[in-house]
Amino acid sequence: MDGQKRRVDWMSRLHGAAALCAFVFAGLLMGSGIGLSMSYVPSQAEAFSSVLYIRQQGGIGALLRAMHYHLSSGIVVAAFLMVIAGVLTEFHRERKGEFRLSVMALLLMIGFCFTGYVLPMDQPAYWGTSVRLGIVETVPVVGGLQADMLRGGSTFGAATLPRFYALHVAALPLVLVILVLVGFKDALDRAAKALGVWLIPACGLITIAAWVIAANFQAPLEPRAAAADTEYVPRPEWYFLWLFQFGKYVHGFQWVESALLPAIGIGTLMLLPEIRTSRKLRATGVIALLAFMFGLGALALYEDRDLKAKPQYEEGLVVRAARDYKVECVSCHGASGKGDGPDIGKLESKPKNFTRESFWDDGTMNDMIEVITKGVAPDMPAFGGRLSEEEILAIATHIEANFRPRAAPASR
Amino acid sequence: MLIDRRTLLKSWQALAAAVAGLSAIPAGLFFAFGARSKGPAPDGGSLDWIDLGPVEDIGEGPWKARRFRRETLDRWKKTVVDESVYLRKQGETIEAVSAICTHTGCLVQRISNGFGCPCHRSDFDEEGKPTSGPAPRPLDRLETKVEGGRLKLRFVKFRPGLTTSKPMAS
Repeated sequence: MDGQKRRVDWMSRLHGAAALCAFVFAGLLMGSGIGLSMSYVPSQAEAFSSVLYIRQQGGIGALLRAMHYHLSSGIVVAAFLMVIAGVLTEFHRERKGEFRLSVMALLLMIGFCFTGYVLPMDQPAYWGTSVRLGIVETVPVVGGLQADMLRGGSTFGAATLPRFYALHVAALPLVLVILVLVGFKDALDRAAKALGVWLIPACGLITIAAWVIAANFQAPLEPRAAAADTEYVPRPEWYFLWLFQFGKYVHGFQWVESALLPAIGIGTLMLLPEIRTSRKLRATGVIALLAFMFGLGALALYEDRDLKAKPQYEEGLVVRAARDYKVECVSCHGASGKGDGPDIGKLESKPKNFTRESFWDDGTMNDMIEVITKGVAPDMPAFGGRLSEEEILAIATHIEANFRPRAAPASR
Repeated sequence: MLIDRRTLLKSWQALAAAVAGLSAIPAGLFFAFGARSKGPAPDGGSLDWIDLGPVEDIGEGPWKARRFRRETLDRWKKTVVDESVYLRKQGETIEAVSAICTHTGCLVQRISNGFGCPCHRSDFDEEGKPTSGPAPRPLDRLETKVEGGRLKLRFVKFRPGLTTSKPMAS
């Protein structure tokens, strides 16, 4: 009896701590989000560039982005723990309304993640969201309509980002504020009572931890979204890995994953306060759920053990430039850059030898970029239409870094 | 005191809820009905034939990925987008199959004798029929024709997750 009491007590402390973290996280997320919104442009053409600008400028912008990124995971975990602790204690029967609100808050957090994930418009943003919209499509009857509403049309395009942005920064925060106003005042009061004067240092400590994490772990940014890239392998965030793995097994009845499963989960939690259940049954349920999630998540990681790590934007360009050089340039300029590629017999002119110092004396990087972009008669093709400015700059840098003789560093 | 603290708080909450509820009406209306594509250019691909260059540039043999650019009117914006498609040439016949996986819309890759989706591991055989994994239908075939020695493609996108090919723009 004593042991059980202590365990329950431990659980309600977990509930309180998770609630407190969620509150502080929410504040920091709003603050960092407002900061980020001052530089972010929700347009398909500019979103990535505006995020990249923040990243490359470093400083407070990159710090806020890192905070926003890490705390988005943090608040999902905190909200999840609140629900779990509510299920395991008598909380869900004693404070029915509050418990249901915490379930709604968890769903809301997932909504924030869903709408925020696409905003940087890098590769995982685009592909992850495409896949999720594909899953939404399979909800019976309303799925197609729902996906169309989220996209602002039948395909991912110019209307899509503004919609996700509006949901992320205006609609969902409004719902959140209402939830807090109606529901969580009591919870805050309890936290204040339980912690007394320690409430402020506790909040301060969580805040400092968030800043320290943000300062030490940069937010990731992969290469710009490329809708035609057949080589990109999309993977979801860590907390959705279990769902992703589950999707591999659902053959034919996709609405099981997209509609039935969420409906059962939410329905069970919402009805739980009305049903008298034993603590043992609830604990078994929670353990089974956690085992299901962590098991599938681990399996997903295991099956991806051979998957190459995703390059970040800067590395990604380097990798792609090496690939582009191999595909586009080697046939004439050669693998060693000496202008001795296998196809030189077919040419009227002699390809440039990048390893000669005189090549680098005659021109600058800007000249090289111009030549790659516009081409030179008769043999050098123009790549301006096929490759982006970034890619051409990356190829030029690749050539410079790999073939320019290093004998005279003083002349650089 | 005319009104005690609890009642005041309650009325504030009710007011806030009312304001939120009222704001949800116009926002919801726009969300549901605003910016729905109208007119002849919904971006579910192109109804026009897209030029993929001279036929002789298409290599004889099994499926190969082909990237191309197309101009499209994306809502209010004229834009150029890159797309991928798989082409196969056997003698005189050139076939095209969409690279978009019919499960959730990732792009499929070439694997030995067929296609494989890197997302949820759907495999398709050389004809695009699903052999394993969750994909609900074969890869979508796209129309091609040869005109004046040039290959033309009608590039249409279809809704993922369905057992039948339903164009996005319908």
